[in-house]
Amino acid sequence: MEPALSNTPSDAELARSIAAASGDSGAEAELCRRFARRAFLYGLRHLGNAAAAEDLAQDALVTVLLALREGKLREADQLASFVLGTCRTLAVAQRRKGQRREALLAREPVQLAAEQLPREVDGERLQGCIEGLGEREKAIVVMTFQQERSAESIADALGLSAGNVRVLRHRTLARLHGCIEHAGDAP
Amino acid sequence: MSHPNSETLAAYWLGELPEAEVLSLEEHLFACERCTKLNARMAALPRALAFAVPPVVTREQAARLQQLDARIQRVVVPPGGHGVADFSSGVPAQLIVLEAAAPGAVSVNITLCARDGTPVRTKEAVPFDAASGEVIVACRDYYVMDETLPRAATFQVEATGPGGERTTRKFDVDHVLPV
Repeated sequence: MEPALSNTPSDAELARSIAAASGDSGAEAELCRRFARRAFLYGLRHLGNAAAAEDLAQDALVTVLLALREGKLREADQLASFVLGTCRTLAVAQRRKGQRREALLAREPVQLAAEQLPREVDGERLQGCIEGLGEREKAIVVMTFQQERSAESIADALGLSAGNVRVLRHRTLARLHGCIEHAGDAP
Repeated sequence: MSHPNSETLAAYWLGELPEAEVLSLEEHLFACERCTKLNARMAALPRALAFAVPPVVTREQAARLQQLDARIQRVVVPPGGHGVADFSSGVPAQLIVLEAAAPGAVSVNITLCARDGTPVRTKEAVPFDAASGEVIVACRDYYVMDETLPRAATFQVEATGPGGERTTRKFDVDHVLPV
C-alpha cells in the first residue's frame, strides 16, 4: 500500500469522504484520476483491446462510486482491492457476454482523462534502442512482435529451448523498457 | 509484494507469468502509482515493437504494417519519377514503393539524398523483390519530423547485378508534414 502524501488523501480517506457526503465531487474526481489508468491497464491486459479496456474502466469506476455512495465498502483501506475485484468481475462478465454495457454508462458517465491512457512509445528512440540490442535479441524481437511466432517456433529457429526464449524475451523487453525511459542511454 | 521489476512486468504482458503471481502483482499495481506508470509504459511496448520496422522493408513486412493500421498508405514511384508522401492527415507511415528500382540485382544499397544530390544517409544490403526489382521504403511520421532529413528527397538506389555490374536509379519524393 502506498503511503498518502501530506496533501493527497489516502485511499481510505477518499472512500470515507465519498461515503460520508454522497456526491463529494472532489473526492470522486480524485478517485477516478487515481484508478482510471489502473483499471484501463487491467482491461487491456485481460480483454486485449483498448476500446474494451476503456469500457471496463468506465464501468468499474461507476460501479465503485455507486457502491461507495451507498456505504457498501466496509473496510475503507481496502479500496484498491475493491476496485481490482470490481474490474475482475466485470472482465469475466464482459468476456462472457461479449457486449458493451451502454446502459450503465448512459446513467453515470465517467470521463477518462487522456493522460490516463498509456502514452505512445517514442518510435525513433525505440528504433535506436533496438539497434543497440545483440543479434539474437533482435531476432527474438522481430520473430515475437512482428512475425507473431510462438516461443516454440522461435526456439526451433535459434537452437534454444522454449523456456530460454521466454526468459530472453522478458529480459529483452525489460532492457528496451529501460532504454526508452532513459534517453540516450544504451539498452 | 515489493515493487515488481521490468522483467516481471514483461512476463505479465506476454501472458507468461504464473497465475498466482498475476494475482499478487495486480493487487500491488492497483495500490501503487509509481508501478502503474512503469506498467503503462510496458503495456505500450509490444504494440510499438510491432511497428518498429527498419526504414526499408520486404513486401511481407509492408503488407503486415497495412494490416496493423489501415491508415498506412502506399506511394508508388516509377524510376526517374516523382511521388508525394503526405503525412498531413495524420497517417503514421507511408510505404514508398520504388518501382523497378533494382531488376535482376543480387544486392541493393539505398541512399537518401537532398534534392541537389547531397547524400544524407545510406543503408546497405537492403531487402528488395528480386522478381520485380521493387524496393519499399517505410517512411515513418517521426522521420518526417526530423529536421536533419530532407523533405524534398531523392532516393538513390544502387543495384549490383550477378556479374558485379552496378546500376543507379533515382526517385524524387516530397514529404508533406503532419498538420
